[in-house]
Amino acid sequence: MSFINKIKEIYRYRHMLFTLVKQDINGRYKGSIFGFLWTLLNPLFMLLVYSVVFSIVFKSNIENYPIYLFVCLMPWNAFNTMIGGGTTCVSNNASIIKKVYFPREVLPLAVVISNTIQYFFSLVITFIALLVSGIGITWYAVFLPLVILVQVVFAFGLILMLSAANVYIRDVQYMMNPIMMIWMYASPILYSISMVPEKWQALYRLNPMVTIIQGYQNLLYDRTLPDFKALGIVLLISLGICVIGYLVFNKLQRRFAEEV
Amino acid sequence: MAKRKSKKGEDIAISVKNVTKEFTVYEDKSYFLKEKIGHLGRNKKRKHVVLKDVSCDIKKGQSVALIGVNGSGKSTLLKLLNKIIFPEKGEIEINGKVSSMIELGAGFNTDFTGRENIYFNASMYGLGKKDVDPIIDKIIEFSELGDFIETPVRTYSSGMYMRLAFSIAVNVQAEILLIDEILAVGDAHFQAKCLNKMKELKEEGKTMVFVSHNITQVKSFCDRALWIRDGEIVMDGETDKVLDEYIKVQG
Repeated sequence: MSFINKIKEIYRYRHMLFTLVKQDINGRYKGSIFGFLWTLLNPLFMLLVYSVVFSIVFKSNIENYPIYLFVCLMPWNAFNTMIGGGTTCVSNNASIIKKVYFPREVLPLAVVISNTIQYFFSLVITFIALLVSGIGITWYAVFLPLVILVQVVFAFGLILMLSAANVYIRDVQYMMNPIMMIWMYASPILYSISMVPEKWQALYRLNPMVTIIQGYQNLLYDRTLPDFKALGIVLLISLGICVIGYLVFNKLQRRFAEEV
Repeated sequence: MAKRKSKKGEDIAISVKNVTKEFTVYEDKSYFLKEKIGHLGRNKKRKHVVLKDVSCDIKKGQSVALIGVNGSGKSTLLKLLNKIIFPEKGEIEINGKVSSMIELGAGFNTDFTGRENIYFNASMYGLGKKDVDPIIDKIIEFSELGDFIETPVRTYSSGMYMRLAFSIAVNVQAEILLIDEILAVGDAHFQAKCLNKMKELKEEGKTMVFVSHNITQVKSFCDRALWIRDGEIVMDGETDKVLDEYIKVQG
């Protein structure tokens, strides 16, 4: 099936996509009293704990460390949750894959969309934190959607590969836990980029998440323009990963119903 | 692609050309890398050919029964037509929107109400809210679920579950219906209602492919029968003739 036809077909199944997204968002907190509010409450508690721990117990050289941490950790958590949910999105839906036809790409797409929506909501807490701490929000924040776009495109490409591979080899989903942990420490979340020794900087910056996280820091914490060139390069790389991911997914999906 | 027109013209709904389907049978199915590596070089899998070079054309509006003993490949053919699985060799062309009743109620989210599941299930057939709204009352009425439609599907009995699923599958305005042994839905009263509905759909000119072991149902319903044995079509023709021969051989 050609790429154009695939797009047309996914468009025909857009209702299914929307319903999956809606179910994911509504269903996640089904039966709970606070419901969707948990999307906001989780980061809020996280922020409270950081503020207490890092301003009383541990002192960091980084100014306003709780806020710094929060600005970087929110996008990382979103990325982490998206990759985690994305990796298992095909294998966890074995029951429908075995029984119903639909373009399988709908599953990773739904994970990415629903997580992006929830991420947008949780950003509200980031903004509140910035305002309350006195750092404030500047007009640079209008570029936030650009950084989020780069992050989401990057994640989507990875998810296409991971979700398809996980159907054949279940180790993928367990392998992701240590990988994501290592990846987090290889990104400027708990520390700042300037703390990385000069001779490692070039290697360090090969990690696309460095550029992405730095984008958030620039816009929200430093209140400067982000490095558009670096972001543009990461976007191109991410699109390349999406193309490879699509080819891998397309190749592997023919036997999903038999392998899952 | 479903929209592609067949070479002989538009009146062919389903065209199956030289289709071969093999399954890899693992003696010990491994999902994990350690096992996969451990199994390398050992003969733990073998190929099982389920369909051998099968070809057939089904015209629009025809009702075709697939008959044969268990394990002959009928359900595999049906799954191939539904594009859940893909053949190793050969081609399958489908002209028209497919509604499958292979596994009724697959994809129901049991935490959601019957009504919510109607929208979700219909979306798997490509129907949006605007398409479902005009027919939802018809679906609910047909299912005879009454007020239960507002309660989560996990509270349903298996009969209620099947009734809801059947009601959706027959009401989504598909052109081709693929049906696997499902006319065992609910009690005698609901079964009769299902059969009537199927006849109605047949008269509307829908194409149907059936897998059934119920000889009486097949006789009353299908114009044509394909007898599949060990993955090959051994006989193709009028229902009565094929059934007579089938009964003679299989007893």
